[in-house]
Amino acid sequence: MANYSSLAIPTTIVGLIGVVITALLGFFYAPLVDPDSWNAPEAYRILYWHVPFAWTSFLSFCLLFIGASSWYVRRSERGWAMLVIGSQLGLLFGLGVIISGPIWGSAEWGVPWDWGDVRLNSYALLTSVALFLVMSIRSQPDGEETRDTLAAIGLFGFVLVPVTAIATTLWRNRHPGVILRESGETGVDAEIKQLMGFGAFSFLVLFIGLVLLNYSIYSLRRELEDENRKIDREVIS
Amino acid sequence: MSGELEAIMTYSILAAILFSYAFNRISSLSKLKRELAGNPAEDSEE
Repeated sequence: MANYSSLAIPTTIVGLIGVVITALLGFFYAPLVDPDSWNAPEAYRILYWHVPFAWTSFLSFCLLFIGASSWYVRRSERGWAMLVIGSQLGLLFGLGVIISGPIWGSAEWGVPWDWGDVRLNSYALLTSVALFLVMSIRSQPDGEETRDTLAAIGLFGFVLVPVTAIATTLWRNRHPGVILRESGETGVDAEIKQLMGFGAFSFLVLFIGLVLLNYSIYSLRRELEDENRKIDREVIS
Repeated sequence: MSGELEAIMTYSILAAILFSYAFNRISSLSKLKRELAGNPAEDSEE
């Protein structure tokens, strides 16, 4: 535990520095996209955070899924902690995607949202599941029944992850295709791809830092509760 | 309209969310560590 805890803050700070560098490079170093092919060429710079935010949210939902499965199969306390952390980070990064996407969409497409696009709607639903889980974990009394119900919702919500991930390829309507894959259609510059890769790496470091941070908090809270319970027992006896 | 303003606005909102969450977690962890470290001292005082 002590190891997690001592690594958590430095890893988070390194991740935060990395994401700030990504934003600065996105503004001042990244080349401008072809103004003839894009309606709002400067707004494309939003994608240096929008895309890694989306990837990191998928990592968070994977953590949520592993945690929910682990809770069901082994009644593992660590599994429950992973579900709690996965839902929080899923909401954080999902919210980032839901905020940045419509701002970029209104600049580039002229509309913030397309109700006919499967990816946009399935992603919004996925973030809503994370929101529901975070609010329920905070408001409901902790117990096996509550955990079972919320883990079930987490497992069903995870079904939306592959749906959202492949929606771009299968039912693409308005949302652009996969950016880092080689294709003549996206026509993305090598420098843009490199910077996007650096952004993804920085967000990965931040994600690891936040997971360690949340896990340390979760473990310390339990430790503190145990200590308090021990003191209460001593006082009563 | 090139979208520069939209980009600045988006980065500001996302940075505010990301940093406030991260620093909130860091301060929670530090507070808990202090609390746990302080418990034995409080006990001995009592």
